[in-house]
Amino acid sequence: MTTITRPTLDFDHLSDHYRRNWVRTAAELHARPEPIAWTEHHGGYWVVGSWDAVNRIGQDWETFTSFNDVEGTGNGGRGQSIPPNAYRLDLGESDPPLHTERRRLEVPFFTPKALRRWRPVARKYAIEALNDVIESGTCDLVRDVIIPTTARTTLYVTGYGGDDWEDTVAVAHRSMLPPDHADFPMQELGRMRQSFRDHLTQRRAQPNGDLISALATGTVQERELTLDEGESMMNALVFGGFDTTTATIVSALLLLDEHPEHRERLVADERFRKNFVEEVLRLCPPPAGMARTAVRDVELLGQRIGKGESVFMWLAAANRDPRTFPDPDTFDPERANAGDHVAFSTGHHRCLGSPLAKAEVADFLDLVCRVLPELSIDRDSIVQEPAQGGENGYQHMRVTFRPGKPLDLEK
Amino acid sequence: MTKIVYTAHDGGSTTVEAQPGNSVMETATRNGVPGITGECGGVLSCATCHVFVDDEDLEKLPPVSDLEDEMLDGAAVDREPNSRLSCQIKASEDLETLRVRTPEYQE
Repeated sequence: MTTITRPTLDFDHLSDHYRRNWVRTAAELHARPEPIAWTEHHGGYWVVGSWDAVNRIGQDWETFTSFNDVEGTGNGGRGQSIPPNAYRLDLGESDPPLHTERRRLEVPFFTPKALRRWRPVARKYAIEALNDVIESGTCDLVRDVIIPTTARTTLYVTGYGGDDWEDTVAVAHRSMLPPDHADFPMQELGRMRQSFRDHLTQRRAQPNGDLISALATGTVQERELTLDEGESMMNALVFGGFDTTTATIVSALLLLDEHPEHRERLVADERFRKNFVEEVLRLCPPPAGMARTAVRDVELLGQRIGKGESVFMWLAAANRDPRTFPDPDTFDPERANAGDHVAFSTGHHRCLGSPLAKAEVADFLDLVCRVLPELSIDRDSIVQEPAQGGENGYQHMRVTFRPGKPLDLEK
Repeated sequence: MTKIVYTAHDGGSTTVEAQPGNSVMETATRNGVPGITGECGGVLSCATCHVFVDDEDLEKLPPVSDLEDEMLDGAAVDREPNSRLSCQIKASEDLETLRVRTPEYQE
């Protein structure tokens, strides 16, 4: 049945109001007959909070395009962000079959076998960072330990090299500001993208088996991947991985702090630890959501979505859809279907780094529980990212713990 | 309907009637069959729905695509000649029965 007037909602996922109130807004949307509404912000878009419908949108790429038609010569899609990115993310903002061929160059680096190479590296970076602070009994856990671990791991996995991770982090944080913001790192970002191109050119001449080489020598649709495509894919890999993983680690530590009864089992029981991480991701997904553009008229949850209209897959709300997750606001690390969350999106664009991210979070929790006894979080010290793209991010979190001796990297 | 017999690494087996169009992976995860993770939901991106297909059933299946072939190289347990990713095998009217063995672990 199609309704005549659109249900509306005053919703802007980029606003401070959103960040302060999104859990309540999601519950209110779910209390409606159907969790779908139209908002007038950013030129107008549909907000969809239904877990079922979000999955349908993510999987039906022929109706809901991810393409970002920057040149205005294609299907009119506006990509995965609202408002649209001026810089097209060639992997995320394309559709099959081209998307599948581009992604095919990257997926071998995120398989279960590949993870066996990356996990010890992430652990090594975590221990190196912890060893700098472990004797003092206090640190800024985000700045001193978590960001160095996740950033260096991401850079190592891409083959970009971990030496200038501090610059990369600085650019990553500020590049999520609106491009007209005074602190937007226009020049630094330009330099980094040039550096991606230089790396790609170098690897094209001398491939060494890393991910950059796979992009530099890869073919899609029977042609070489262009330098523009390679740069854009490098950009997504380098900047996509560590703020999101950092946010998930912080969310996990905060939830553990609120539920110390799980601590012992978290260390002893690997299966429980994995489900704990899934439940953290369900409740605290790093992104608020992802956008699509309808390329034809389509009916969704009783509403007529018009051709050309933007649709926001509100992933954070879908993760709290009471029809899929009973008692959705309760943290239950034993929840049987916790892993059905859509924190990594759904369909062809589901985050390909998700297995690595989950392993990093689980391993870091295990390590911290083992080596930082009496960990106490100073909640007043927590500094979140400014409202940047609806992304859940953290800059600072001070902690104290019982001082210990530096850890042996070999053990 | 396709009758799918899943045999676990330890020998225990589960039989499920699959609806045409549903994959061997989703039939397992929706029915609580152990041994198949299906992390990515069926978009050939995770290699956690690896199965070994009974040799007699192998020739009934459509061929392995290039991407499936590449992903099988990354599966947690080493591939064998009868390895497939179960998200790529769909139940159909033509496929009466299918026997698969799940590996010891997927991740």
